[in-house]
Amino acid sequence: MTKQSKYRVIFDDPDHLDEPTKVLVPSQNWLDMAMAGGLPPIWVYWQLQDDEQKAIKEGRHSTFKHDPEKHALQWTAPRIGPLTEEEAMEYLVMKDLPRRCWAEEHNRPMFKIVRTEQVPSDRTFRNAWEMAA
Amino acid sequence: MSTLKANAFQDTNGNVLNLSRVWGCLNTLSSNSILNDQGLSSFTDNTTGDYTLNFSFTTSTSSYAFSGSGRQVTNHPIQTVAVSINASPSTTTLRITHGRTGGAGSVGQQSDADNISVCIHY
Repeated sequence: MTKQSKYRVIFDDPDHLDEPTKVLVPSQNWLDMAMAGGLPPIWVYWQLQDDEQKAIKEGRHSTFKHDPEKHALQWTAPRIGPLTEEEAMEYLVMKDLPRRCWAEEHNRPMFKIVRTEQVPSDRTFRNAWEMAA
Repeated sequence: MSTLKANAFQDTNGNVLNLSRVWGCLNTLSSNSILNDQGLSSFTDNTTGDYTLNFSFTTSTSSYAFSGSGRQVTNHPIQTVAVSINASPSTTTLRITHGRTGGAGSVGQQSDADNISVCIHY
């Protein structure tokens, strides 16, 4: 097994608050790349996400293909430089969590970055997990 | 030793050769971890047997092939992975379910597992 990150992200989806709390598990390979300075600016991913969401709203997702120039920016845009593990986790939140979880105001936090050992290992009641206040 | 870097390959006739660029082995039973992967930035544990794979890069289209499997356990001879009905595949994520089917005295059920293998080809 590869080395594991010290962190996890627990979050609730504001559009589905009846669902159990979700746990985001980072890839150590991706974190290593982030800490080595291999990531593009986050807007490169947001631009692609926005284009796809627009295609879904317009009902053309089944034939949708990303613009080749925007798509290539993932590899050709200038790198943002090495991040700490904590900064990489914040980048990951902005990349992999639904934007409504962290970019919109709610009456309570919709996500928390926690230490791995704070996530229960006993999954007997997994479908009843809730984020503590 | 040299390192070959490329984002696309072609045969001598100009046909595009597609490599499997996203794969991962997940343990969702106890440690909730990625045992090893390529092309994943993370996965989300939504609930029992329900996960979202988050790709480290955006694919050009959402029309890719997916395969997955789980490890056989006592009384549950078949462990299978399927694309979830809860979300359509996208160029950034794929929501999947892992479940057990068959077995003596057992009905099918969504379940976690200590070794779920997934692979995306495009």
